[in-house]
This record gives sequence, structure tokens and C-alpha cells, in this order.
Amino acid sequence: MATTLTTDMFWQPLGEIACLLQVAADHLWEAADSAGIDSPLHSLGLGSFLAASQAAELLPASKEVPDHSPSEANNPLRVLETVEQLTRQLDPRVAGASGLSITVADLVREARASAA
Amino acid sequence: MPLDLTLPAVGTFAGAAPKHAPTGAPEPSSGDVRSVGELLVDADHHARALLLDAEAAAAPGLLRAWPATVTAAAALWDTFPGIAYAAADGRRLIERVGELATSVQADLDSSRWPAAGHGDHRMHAIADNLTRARELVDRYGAELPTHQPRVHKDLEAARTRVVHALYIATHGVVVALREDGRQRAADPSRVEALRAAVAHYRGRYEVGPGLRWADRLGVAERVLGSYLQPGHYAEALSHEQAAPVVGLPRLREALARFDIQVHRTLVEAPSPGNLVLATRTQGMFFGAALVLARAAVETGHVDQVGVDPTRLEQGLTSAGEAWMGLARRWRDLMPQGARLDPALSAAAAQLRAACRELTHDGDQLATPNAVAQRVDLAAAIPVIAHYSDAAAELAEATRPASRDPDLVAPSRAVVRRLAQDIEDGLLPGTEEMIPSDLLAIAARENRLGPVPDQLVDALEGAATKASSSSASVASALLGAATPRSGSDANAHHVRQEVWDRALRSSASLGCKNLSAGPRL
Repeated sequence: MATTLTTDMFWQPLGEIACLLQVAADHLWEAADSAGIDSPLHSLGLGSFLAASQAAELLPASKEVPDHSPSEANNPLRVLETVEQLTRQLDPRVAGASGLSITVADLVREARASAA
Repeated sequence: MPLDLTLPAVGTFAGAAPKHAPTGAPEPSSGDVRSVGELLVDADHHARALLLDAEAAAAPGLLRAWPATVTAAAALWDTFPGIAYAAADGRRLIERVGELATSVQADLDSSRWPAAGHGDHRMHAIADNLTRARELVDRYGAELPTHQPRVHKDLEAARTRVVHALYIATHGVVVALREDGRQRAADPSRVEALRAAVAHYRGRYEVGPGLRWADRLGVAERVLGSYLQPGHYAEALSHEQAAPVVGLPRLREALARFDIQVHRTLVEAPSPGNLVLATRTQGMFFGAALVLARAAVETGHVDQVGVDPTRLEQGLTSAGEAWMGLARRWRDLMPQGARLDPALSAAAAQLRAACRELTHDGDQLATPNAVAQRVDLAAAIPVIAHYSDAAAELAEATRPASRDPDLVAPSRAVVRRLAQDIEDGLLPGTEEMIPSDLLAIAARENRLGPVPDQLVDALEGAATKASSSSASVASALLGAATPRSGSDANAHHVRQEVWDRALRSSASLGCKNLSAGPRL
């Protein structure tokens, strides 16, 4: 039995997750560079960047990570929370989706603590 | 253009997709230096990973490989010495599961579903680890003083780990088989067959060959579960004799792994994305080193090694900022959605976790006293020194990537960076500095194009700065921290020695640490 998916709905959340995690990483690094070399945001940004890579790795080679629009929120915590919501839309048939969800949940917890 | 999003047929996906490629368990060979404990932890990790992604597509492969995994587990369980100290009824339960596996294998050979084919690689990884562990126990088990309580309790912990890995893996197979049944039930092309089957069978979701196998494996799962009766797993593992790799040894090992992997990646795939990851990780390390150094200053450890605290802090800050500056420049060249080297990602994640373990308390930076309680700060100073020396070499190793003739960058990022460099006074503010055609392209679309020479020069300048500032930290610390390091050559020798030692240590740790991700 072969399953043919005719729409992008299957992969769309994953692409958005990869894109937004990269956005969050860029925001976090920007804030970290301003705050100084010992800022914990460097580590959080790296975590977000690694998670973006983890999400992109789950996409088929034929699918590209979408480009983000400049209007997206500048608050990395909000971006990560949006990503966390998107992980709930992931199709369970995507192998590795569970691990990605756990990683994102850890990042949100870390970001909330940093924002507190 | 329509995208080809066809999924492989059920049963062929797991073996064919790169995302399912084996990740940790090497073939048993004379080169595998992992201990029995490490092999068991790795088997347990693969079982848990299997359960996390127990998808229907993998069900046939999982089922095919299950009997061999049970056989390997039962053989190992039986090989451990000190059987007299094993859990009550343990042998009977293991033999029962072994019989079930033999029966399943016999029926698989003659059944229509799943037909002959490949087994699932995750199950193979579990079986390979267990087989390799049995070889070691066969060879060295007789030397163990099993009459000693700590030894026979450790052996029972090992037996329990074997059973637990098998229990989790078996549950994963059952989950995958049931999921396969559900998907078949939802397939409209099978409605007629289902209606006929429902009339003779127990319910909609009970139809399909996979579900009958699931019922049989469910029996094995229950038997294994009874071995791990509530409390036995935790009780047995609490007596496991294993030295946890935490603190400074973990940091040293993570640094060694990252250093080796990043050089490999720079040779094999020196893409901007990988360079962003490499340089940002370096910068993060210097930030963590600064936290350690401040804690060492506050607790008086820096005085013990004779380092000037002000020079130390300034040196680490400069090095960290230089690496972050280099990272920002590589980030400009990285296209959206760039894929990274998974091995480098894993090494960076390990280093991040190792640093956080020392410098963070929960999600906040730890206090100097808390840091001092976790790690011998006097011993941490030489580690920072040696790795700073390695970082200086790494910065130089990034330079060839910036001269890659195929290097391209998004036009908007290029224009933004050129404008920023002009504003910062790094480039002369002339109109020719940003070509008008490049401006036009950037305004219209974010197209990839060649990197202007000015940016390549700036990239090399940033690499030089990262190298020299890292070398300054190394020379300041190595002179004070290690009496033998009187020259650069000697410093390199010391670093090599530390690296060799860390690698020997990491080799003995095997895949246990590779499997850990950036969990906090």
C-alpha cells in the first residue's frame, strides 16, 4: 500500500517550525550579542538553531524551508511558543516528530525562565 | 510544480529513508571498545527511540527483526554469571519469551504478511549491542567475584536492563503493528474486505494481519512486564556500578569530540550553515569559560594556578566576542533553511549540554559557589587553556571556506552587511562600495549571488581576530597552568596529550553520550 499526499499540509507545519526556530535563534543571538559574551541567551540561541536544523532534517530533500516574513514577532519567546503550538499539528507519521516536540518544549521552558 | 510526496509502501519506508539510517550502534567488531554497561545503555536508548517513532510503516521490519532480538537478549541474560542471585522466576520468564520468539519466527517463515524482507535497523542495533555484550561476558564473566553483594547486585541490574530494553522494544513493535492495523482499517479500498472480516472477527480495529501478530507479541510484552514488576526496575538499577560522566570529564570529552568533528566537517562540508554552527558553538564555549573563570576568581582558585584575573577575564571576553563576530559574518552568508551536518549538530549539542551542566542552575546562570561545588575550578583552568589553543587552530581552519569560489550569499544580507561595515568605518563609504546592480537585485528579490571581495576579506579578518584572541587566552593560561608549556610547540604537545586522553575516555563511553541530545 502506498500513501500519496497531494497537498503540502503534511509538511507545512514542519517547514514553518524550521523557519520560526531559525527566526528565534537569530533574535536570541542578536539579544545575546548586545548583552555580552556571558549571556545565557547565547546557549538558548544555539539550542534554537540546533532545533531548526533538527526540524529541517525531517523534511524531505525536495521540500525547502519557507522564507519568513519580516513582520514576524521580534520576541523570541513568543516565536518559540508559536513553534510549540505548531508541533501539536505535526503528523505522527513524520519520524522524529516526537523528539522535535520534546526539544521545542525544553526551549520554551528555558526561554520562559530567561524572560522571567 | 507538483511535489512528489509519495510515501514508500508500508514496510519499505524504514529501511530506505535516510532519516532512519542507523545512528549509533556500530557493527560488533574488534574495534568496538565499549563496556557491557555501555552496550546495554545503548540498547536501551535504541529501544526508547524505537518506541518514540513506532510508526505503521516500520511494523513489518520490526516484526521480522523481533525474534532475533529476543534470542540475543535471552542468550545474554543466560550468560551473566551469578544466576543464583537473579530475580525470582527470572529464568522461567526469559525462557517463556524465548519460546514465544521461536514460535513467532517459525510462523513468520511461512506467513503471507509480512513477506520476506529487511528487518528494522533499530531492532538490529539492539540485537547487535546485546550480542556484543554477550561476547564480552562470555570472555570475562568468569573472572567476576559474584559472591560479593555489590557484584551480584550489579549483575542483576544488567539483567534488568536487558529485560527492560526488550520490554520497551517489544511494546514498540506492538504499537507499530496496531497502528498498521488502524491504517489498513481506514483504507477505503479495503472496505469490502473489512466488512467481511468484521463479521468474523472482534471489531473494526482488530482486523488485519498485523493485529494478530500484535496479540502474540502482546503476550511476550506481558511476560517481560511481570519480570519488571513495579519497583524491581528502579530497585535493581539503584545498585548498578557505574561512574557517571558528569562535570569536568564530560566537558573535556565534549570538547574533544567537537574539536575532532568540526575539523572533519570543515573538510567534508564547509557550508556557511556548518560554519555558523561551529563558530557560534565556539563563542558559547568562551561564554561558559568566562562564567567558570569568574567563579574561579571569586572562590580563590585562580590564585592557586597563578593567573592574573583581569587578564583572564579580558582575554576570554575578547575571544568570545571575536568568535561571535565571525559567526555573524557567516550567518550573513547562510541561506534560509540550510541543512547542517548531523554529526556536527550532535557534537555541538553535547558541548552545549556539558557547558550548561556546569554553568546553569535550572534555567538560570549558577552562582559562583554553586559552580565551585560542581567542578574543581583549578582543574578547569587548564582545560579552558588547552581548548583555547585548539580554537585558535580552528579559526585558521575556517579561512579556506571563505575563499571557496562557489561561495554565494543572499543579496539582501550582503547589502545589509556592506552598509553596516561602512557605518562602522570598516569600509570606505564610497558609492562604488555597494554596486548599484547588487542594490537593485536586493531591492527586488533575495537572490543568491557571489560574495563581494570586501566581505571575503572581512571574513578572513574576523577569522584572524578569533584565532589571535584565542591564542592569547591559551598562552596566558598555559604558561600559568602547566609548568611544562614553555613554548608553543610544547603547548601543542600538552593539548594533544589531553585530547588523546579525552578520546580514550570518550571511546570507552561509546554511544551512550552520542545519544544524548540538547536536553536541559
